Amino acid sequence: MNDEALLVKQVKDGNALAFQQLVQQHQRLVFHMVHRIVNRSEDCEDISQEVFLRVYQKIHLFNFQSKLSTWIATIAYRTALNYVKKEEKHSSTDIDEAISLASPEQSAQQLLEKKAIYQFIHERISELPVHYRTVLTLFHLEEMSLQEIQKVTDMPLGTVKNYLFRARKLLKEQLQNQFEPEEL
Amino acid sequence: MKNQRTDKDWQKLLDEGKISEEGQKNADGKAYRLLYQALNTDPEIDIPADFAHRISTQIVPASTTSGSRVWIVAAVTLGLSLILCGALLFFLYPAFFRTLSEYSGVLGFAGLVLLAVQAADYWLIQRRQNVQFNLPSI
Repeated sequence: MNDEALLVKQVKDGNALAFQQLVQQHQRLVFHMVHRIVNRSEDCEDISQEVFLRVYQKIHLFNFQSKLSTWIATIAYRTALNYVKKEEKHSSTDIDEAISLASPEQSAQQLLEKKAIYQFIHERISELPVHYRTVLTLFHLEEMSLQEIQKVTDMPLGTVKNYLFRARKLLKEQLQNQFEPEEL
Repeated sequence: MKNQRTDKDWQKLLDEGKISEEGQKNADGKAYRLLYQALNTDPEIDIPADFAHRISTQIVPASTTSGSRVWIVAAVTLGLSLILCGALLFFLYPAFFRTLSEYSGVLGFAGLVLLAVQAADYWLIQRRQNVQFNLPSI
C-alpha cells in the first residue's frame, strides 16, 4: 500500500490526524483553485474549508481511479463554481467584457518592474471568464495535464485546449496593449 | 518564415519548454515568455498556518468503539434491574400486575410508539455515517 492509499484508508477510518495531513498536502491546490474561481479573497478560506469538509464526507467514495489531488480538485472546482453561480446570477462575464475590463489608465511607467507586470497579469486573469481562469490555474500552477483538467472540469478535451489557448492569447494581447515592446 | 509564427506556434513552443533566441527578439515571443513566467508564479494567497488543524478539529466522530461498549453495558444493567424489580413486585405486590393488565391495550400502544421513535432515531443517525459536520454558513 503506497503512502496515498494508506493516508486515504486512515482518513476513512476517521483518523483526524491523517485528515489534517491530507489537508496540509492539498491546501495550496484548493486555495489556488478557489481563489481563482471565486475572485474574492475574503471568501476563499470559508469555501476552502467547505471543500475539505466535503472531501471528508465523500472520502469513502474515492476509489483510486484518479489521483487524490485530481479528485480533490474536482470537489474544489464544483464547490467554488456553485458559489460563483449563486453569487453572480446577475452578472455574467463574457469574453468581450473581460477584454473591456482591462484598465489601460494604469501608467506603464509604474509597471516596469517584473513583479508589477506579474501583478498586472494576475489582475487580468481575475477578469477572465471563470472557465478560462480554472484551466489556466490547473495547467500552469498545478501543472495538471490536459487529461487531468478534463477529469476535474468534466469539459471535453477540445474545449479545455481551446479555453487554454484563448485565455493565453487574450492575456498576451492585453500585455501588449499595456506595455511597449521594449518594456517587455 | 520564423517571424510569421502564429499564437498557436508560440504557445506550443513554450508548452514544450522550447524557448529559442527567436523568442527573445520577436514581440509575440517576448510577450508570451513573460506571460508564461507570470502564469507559473504563485499568486499571493494567505493560507492561515493553523488551517489544517482547524479543519481537522471540526470533524467529530459521532461514536467510538469504547462509547458503544458503555451504552451496551448501560442497557444490560438497566434490563437486569427491570427484571429484578418486576420479580420483586410480582412476589411482594401481586395486585400491581393485575391492575396493569386492565390497561394492557394503552400500555402496548405506548410501547410501540416508543419503539418506533427509537427506530427512526437510529435510522437517522445511521444515515449521517457516524460523522457530524459543522459546516460554515456561506
